Amino acid sequence: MSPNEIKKGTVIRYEGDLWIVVDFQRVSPGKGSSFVRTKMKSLKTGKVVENNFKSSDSLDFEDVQYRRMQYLYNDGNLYTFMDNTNYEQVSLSKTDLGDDAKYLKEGLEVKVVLHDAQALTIELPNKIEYTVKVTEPAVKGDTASGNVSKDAELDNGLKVRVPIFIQEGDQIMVNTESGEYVERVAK
Amino acid sequence: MIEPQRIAEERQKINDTIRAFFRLRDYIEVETPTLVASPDLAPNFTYFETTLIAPGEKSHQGALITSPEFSMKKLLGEGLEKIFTFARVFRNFEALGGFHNPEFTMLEWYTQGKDYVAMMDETETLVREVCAAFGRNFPTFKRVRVRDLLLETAGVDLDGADKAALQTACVRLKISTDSSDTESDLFYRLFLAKAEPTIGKEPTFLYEYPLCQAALAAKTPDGKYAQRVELYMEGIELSNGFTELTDPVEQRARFASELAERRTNGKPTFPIDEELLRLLPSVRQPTFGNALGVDRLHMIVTGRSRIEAVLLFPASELF
Repeated sequence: MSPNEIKKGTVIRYEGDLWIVVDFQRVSPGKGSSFVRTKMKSLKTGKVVENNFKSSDSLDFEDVQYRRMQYLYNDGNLYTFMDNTNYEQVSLSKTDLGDDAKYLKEGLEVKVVLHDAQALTIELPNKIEYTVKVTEPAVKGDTASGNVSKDAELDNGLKVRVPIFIQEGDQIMVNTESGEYVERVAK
Repeated sequence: MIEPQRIAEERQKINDTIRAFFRLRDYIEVETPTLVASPDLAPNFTYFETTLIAPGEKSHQGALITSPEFSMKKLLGEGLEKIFTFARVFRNFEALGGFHNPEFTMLEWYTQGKDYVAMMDETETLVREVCAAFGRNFPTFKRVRVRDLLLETAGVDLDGADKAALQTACVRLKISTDSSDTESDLFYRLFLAKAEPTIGKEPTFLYEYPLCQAALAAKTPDGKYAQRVELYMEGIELSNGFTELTDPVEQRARFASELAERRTNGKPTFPIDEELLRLLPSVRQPTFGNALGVDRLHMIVTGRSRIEAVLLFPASELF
């Protein structure tokens, strides 16, 4: 397969080991071939490395399955998910989830990535809705001084910057790629 | 304030600041075509292709521009001295979001009689003015030769480094290569793995690229490098410009090799822009040109990390 087919969650066999792509970016120099800058995690050691593949390089992609599952709870290092159609449960470690762990909240539906029936990691929805638990009220003069955003803590403990008009109890959408506030959800 | 209004007002302020900057310096704003018969022929671009149909005429193959460069240079050849344009440009087969949107706004400007050093000075002043309009200030922009950066980060001296030397360096640094790699590919593998990650967040001009990365740039007086400049800010590639190549013979040769490369890679080809080659000798030497991504500048001055957050209609929501 061509590196151009790489997506987040793609599993490739590279130098004898299995790796899952956690991030990638297509880069085109001013001249010459384009490349895919890839951040991939070893499924054996959990180590994350960066590799740059030329578009014409050839890669071995492994077949993976995706299963819709609901996040149940976190028990120290393990995060447990359940398939609502057959009540089967799988657990993943913090290393497996990486940065995605901080977006989880009870009942959230995610896609669990499986290879040879073994759960590898999850795919989050692009945007997730949260309730703002703690944030300071807007102070008069904030806009004039250029402070158009402030800190907020959400119902699952996640911290984001939000616009000053956001109040405690508001529902907001957060982008799970950037970790940034997207919009307030109309009540 | 609702978010679309905030985005629109920010963009208006950026555009107004840019227009005021160029007016003050006697530039003329020009409009250039988006649909053309001969787009840029860069080997790695995938175009939005289309067909022009007019009643009673034979149909024509066409494409949306990836940059207004050819039209701008024709205007220089016709005698315009200092010009700028806000062009909507299109690139297919790029990421849908993040740092990329398939159509984006490119600011391009050209001055006859000045070279890439003057271009770096003017670009820094312009970007600083836009930042200042948003209360942002940055330290003096760093200026780093590509040769120095590669020497420092990869231990490769581009002075006299041939393809074999680049290959050896890749092996030494455990960077995988492929037998199909060209000199340009090997350079870029080293650049991506070792050099680019060290640029960091501070505003930095990288200048004087190896000739295999010359694109439409003139050579340095010693003939070893291309007078090409890229500006990085907050780790984002913000602009790319040159002291322009004005030699039509050299330009035709570069077009021919780009076309050959496109054929090898099975990419569609377009006719060489003969009108550009006819007008090129009338462009004075030196002349600089620079292309700057306005959406990315918008991201930088407002501290947003994704291009979708500065667009009223990001493509990721349209498709």
